[in-house]
Amino acid sequence: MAQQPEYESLRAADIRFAYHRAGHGGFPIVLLHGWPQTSHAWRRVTPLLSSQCDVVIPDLPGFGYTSKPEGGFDKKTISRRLRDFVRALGLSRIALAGHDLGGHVAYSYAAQWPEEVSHLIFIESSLPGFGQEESMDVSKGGSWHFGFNMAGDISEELVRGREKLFVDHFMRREKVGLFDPNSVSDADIEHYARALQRPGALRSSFSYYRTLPIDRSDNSVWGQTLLTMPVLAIGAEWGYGPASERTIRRVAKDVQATIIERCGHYPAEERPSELARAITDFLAMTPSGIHRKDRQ
Amino acid sequence: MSSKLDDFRHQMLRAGDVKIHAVVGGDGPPLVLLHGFPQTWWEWHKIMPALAERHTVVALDLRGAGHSDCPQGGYDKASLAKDVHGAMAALGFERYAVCGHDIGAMVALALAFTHREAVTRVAILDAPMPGWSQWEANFIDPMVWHFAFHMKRDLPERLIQGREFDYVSTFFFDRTFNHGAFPIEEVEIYARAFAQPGNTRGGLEWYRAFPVDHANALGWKRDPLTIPVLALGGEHRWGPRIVAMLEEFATNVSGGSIPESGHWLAEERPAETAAALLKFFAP
Repeated sequence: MAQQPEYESLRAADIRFAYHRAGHGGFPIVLLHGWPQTSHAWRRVTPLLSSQCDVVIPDLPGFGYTSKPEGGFDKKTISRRLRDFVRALGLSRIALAGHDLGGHVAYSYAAQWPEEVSHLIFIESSLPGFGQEESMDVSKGGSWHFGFNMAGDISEELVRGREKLFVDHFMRREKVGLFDPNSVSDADIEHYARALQRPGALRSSFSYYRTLPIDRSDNSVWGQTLLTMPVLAIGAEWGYGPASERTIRRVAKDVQATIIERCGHYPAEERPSELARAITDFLAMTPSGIHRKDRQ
Repeated sequence: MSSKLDDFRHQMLRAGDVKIHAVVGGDGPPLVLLHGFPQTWWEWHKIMPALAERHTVVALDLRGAGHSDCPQGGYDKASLAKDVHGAMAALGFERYAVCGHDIGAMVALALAFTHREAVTRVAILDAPMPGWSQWEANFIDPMVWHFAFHMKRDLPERLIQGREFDYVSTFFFDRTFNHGAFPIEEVEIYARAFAQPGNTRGGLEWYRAFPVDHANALGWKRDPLTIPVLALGGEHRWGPRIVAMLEEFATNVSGGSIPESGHWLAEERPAETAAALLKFFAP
């Protein structure tokens, strides 16, 4: 089974970041996991990128072994903290890939520091103000969990001690979830569940949702200026499908898109080869990306 | 207060394929009271004695709640209305007035539309109605996040199990203006009822039927009710909007807000609620 390199740890401003790093010296790319996951989500992709890239895979603030701050879960603050971390690693310009809520963070980063993001890779994600609202409107086929996660202390109260049930539900749900429910093992589900059991983890995890109204207002400002760096939107046939592309085209000029077939909302775990190939092809074909000479 | 309930009789009534628990007392023209979520007939206990002075009051548990049956299906509001009509028929009442709160208000409206010959007047207390022009838009209101949660199949039962008190208390307190209405003992009565086998699922099934309810009500409202309709809401919940909402369904609507109340009119402001109901239902 694919494994991440050992966890490393780095303090940047008020946050202790836990992260993995592989392929030092290559083209820098930062991979952001989604909800309710951790850097573990990228375990099958990391080895496929590390021959060409300097791959950095953090646990986002509030998740896994990264600090669980008291506040600041709006994506503007999360991305500022993430940038502090990236700079503390000595990286000034990165390719940035975000899955799910990690995509919200990646967009926020790219919108605020466009000159520091060479490529944006937007995977099975949405953006408040640019299409995310539909996915939370049950009357239009959206999911119940947005309202639940935003509801307040009762959400933590109901999920506490039942983290595995909760994660298992999301990853294996028939709609949007994994195409093949066994493409992720029970041990992987346990891994995420244990991460959610750590003190403050549920609070932090739900706080990513409770700040969506703030994000909506930030996005509405940033969205007035289209991103100019190359953007790749990756959808999963059985996940959000073409919705990620539709969203990102509203805020970016230079967008390519691909759909991964026979895949649910978790392509990094269900179709790692296809996902890694889409990423490396994208980085290779754009001018500031991977060139053969860079690797010699 | 409870001593006045001593004159009421508990009974189980056969209504089609289910047994319905009813609490019956008083004298006068029949009035059936339909509770909401996450409640039982007990939500009316403060006002039942006052109503019983002029009415034969029937406070029943809906299919899925209290001591009534919790079968696998039949939770759309037309089916729940059929249960109510069956229970009233079992008591010998062919024509009666109806008062419903929350989910019970949706049942009351369904009953008025599907049994026009039986329902003389209907009071609707503090709820949005399936079929309302804003029904679907209302789903994105953070106050009704529970609609989507309850509509999700299977998972909510698992998350709520063993934590019924936490869930029910949060549900009450988030929607209450007069917190004096809900001492812990009162909340426990509802939490214990909700924790009875089948009742958690039963209560959630009321929400899972919303798509059917909405489609049905869109049909019904093409032929509006002409009986008197009282639309009452808490000043701090549906009061400001409820009359206009019901005017989409009926031609003769009165009502408005009960001041200084949240969602739980009969418990937060029992005197005002009883007075408004007695006035409306007076022959």
